[in-house]
Amino acid sequence: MLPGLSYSESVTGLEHLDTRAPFALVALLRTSEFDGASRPDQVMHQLETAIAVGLIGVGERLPPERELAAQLGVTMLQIRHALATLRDRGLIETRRGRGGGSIVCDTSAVSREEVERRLRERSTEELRDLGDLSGSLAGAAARFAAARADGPEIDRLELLASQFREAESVQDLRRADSRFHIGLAIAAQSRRLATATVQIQGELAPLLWAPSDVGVDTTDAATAHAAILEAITDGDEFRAQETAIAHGAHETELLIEARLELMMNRALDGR
Amino acid sequence: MNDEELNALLETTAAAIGKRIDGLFQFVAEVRARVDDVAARAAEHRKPLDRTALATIRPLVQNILQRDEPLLEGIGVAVGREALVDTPRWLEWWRRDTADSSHFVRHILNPDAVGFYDYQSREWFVHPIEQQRPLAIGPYVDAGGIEVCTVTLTMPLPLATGDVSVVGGDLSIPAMEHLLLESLGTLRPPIALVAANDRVIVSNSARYVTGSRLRPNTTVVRTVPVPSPDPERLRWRLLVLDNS
Repeated sequence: MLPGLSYSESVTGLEHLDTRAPFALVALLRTSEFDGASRPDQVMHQLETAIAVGLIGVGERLPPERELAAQLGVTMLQIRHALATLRDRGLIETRRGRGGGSIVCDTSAVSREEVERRLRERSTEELRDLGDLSGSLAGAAARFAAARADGPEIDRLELLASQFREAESVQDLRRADSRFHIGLAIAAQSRRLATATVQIQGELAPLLWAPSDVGVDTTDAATAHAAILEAITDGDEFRAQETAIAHGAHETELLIEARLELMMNRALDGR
Repeated sequence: MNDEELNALLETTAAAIGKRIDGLFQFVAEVRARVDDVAARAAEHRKPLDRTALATIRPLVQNILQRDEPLLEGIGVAVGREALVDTPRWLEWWRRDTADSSHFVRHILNPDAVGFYDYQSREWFVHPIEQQRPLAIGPYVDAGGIEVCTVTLTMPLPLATGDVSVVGGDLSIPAMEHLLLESLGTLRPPIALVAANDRVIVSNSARYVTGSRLRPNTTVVRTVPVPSPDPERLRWRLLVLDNS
C-alpha cells in the first residue's frame, strides 16, 4: 500500500488519500456544471459534491473556517458565504462553543426536478461522453485493482459493495456507489485515477441515484459490483476491466434513456 | 404500431428531415453566392481578395444565424491556400449563441502552434473539393473547431484564381434529436438516423447514440432513405433497428 493511501480507521475510507491536506481532493472537485458561477457558489458546489459522493462522511466535522478557506483557495468571506448556503440547504449543521463547528448532515437528496433539469441541459452526446470517461476510469481502476489489491483492500471493497446493497435511501445509494468506484481506484494504488473518479462521480452519481416514484432498482448495479469484485479477487485483470466497462456502459444507457424520455415528452408537448 | 403505420411514420419523418436539410443547404448556397460575388467584384476592380474583403459577408452570415432554424449551429467559408492574398489559411466562420446573437469562431491557424486547426486536410474541406459537389460530411467530432459532434453541409466554391474554397453550415445535433423525436413521437421501436459513414447522427434509443457506428452484427429491420433533390449530397437513411 502506498504511503498516504491507507484506510486506517476512517469513516469513509477516503479521507486519507492525501494525509497532508485532507481537503485536497475536495479542492479538485471543479465540475463543468458550475463554470461561470461566482466563487462562493463554486465552493458551495465543491463541498456539496464532496458530501454527495461520500468524500466527507455524515457526522464528520469540517475543518475550521480559516483552514478550509486556505485549503480551497478562497477568502474567509467567501467560505462563510458558502457555508451559510450549505446550512440553509440542510447539508451542514453548525454548533457553537466547545466541540462546535460545522457537522455534515446530508439529509437532502438532489431533487428529481434538479436531476431532470441537468438531464435536459446536457445533450445526449455530453451524457455519452461523461459515461465514456466514467466507464474508462472504472475499467482501468478495476484492471489495476485486480493486479494490485491486497487482502484488506479487497475486504474494504466488499464492505463498500455491501453498503450499497443495504442502502435504504437515494442519498445512501449515491454515496455508497461513489465510494465503491473511488475505492476501486484506491485499490488500484492510483492517486490520479482516484482523483479523476471523485470528479466524475460528483457529476454522475446524483444523476444515477435520484428520487423516483417507482422506487430505484439497484439489482443490476449490485450484481455488477459483485462481478467486478469477483474478478478482482481472482486476480483476473481482463475480466475485471471488461465487467467494469460493461457496468459503466449499462448505466450510461439508463441515463440516456431517461434523457430521451424527458426530451420526448417535451417534443410531444410542443407539437 | 403495425407495419403500415410504421412505414408511414418513417416516410413522414424522412420527408420532414429531408426538407429541413434542403433549407439548410439553401442557406449555405446563399453564403456561397455572396462569397462568389465578393470575389468576382474584387477581380473586376483588379483589387486583391483579402480578409477585409471577405469580411463583408458578415451581415449576411449573422442574418442567416438569426433566422428561425435551430438546426443551424454555425456557418461560414473556409478558404483554399491561394484564395486570399494576405494569408494561406482563413476561416470566416460564425456560430450561433442564442436566437439573436452569434460570434466569430477563432481558430488556431498557425501551423507551428500546438492545437493547429489544419482544416485544409479535414474531410469536410477535402471531399467536396475532390468530388466537386455539395456533400453532408459527418457526424464527426470537430476537434480544434467547434469541439462538438456535428455534421457539416458543404459546397465547394471554385474561384477565378483557380483555387477552391469551401462554404459550409454546421448542424446542431441536439436540435436534430429534437426534430427526430418530435416527428417520431415514440421511443419504440429503436430508430436511428444514419449518415453515409454508417455513423448514427441521432436516434430515439440509448443503444444507438450519436457518433457510434452500426456494428456489423446489428439487425436492420427496415431502411428508408432521407429524400433529397440531390441524393448524392445527402446519403442519409432512417433505420429501424433490432429491439432485442
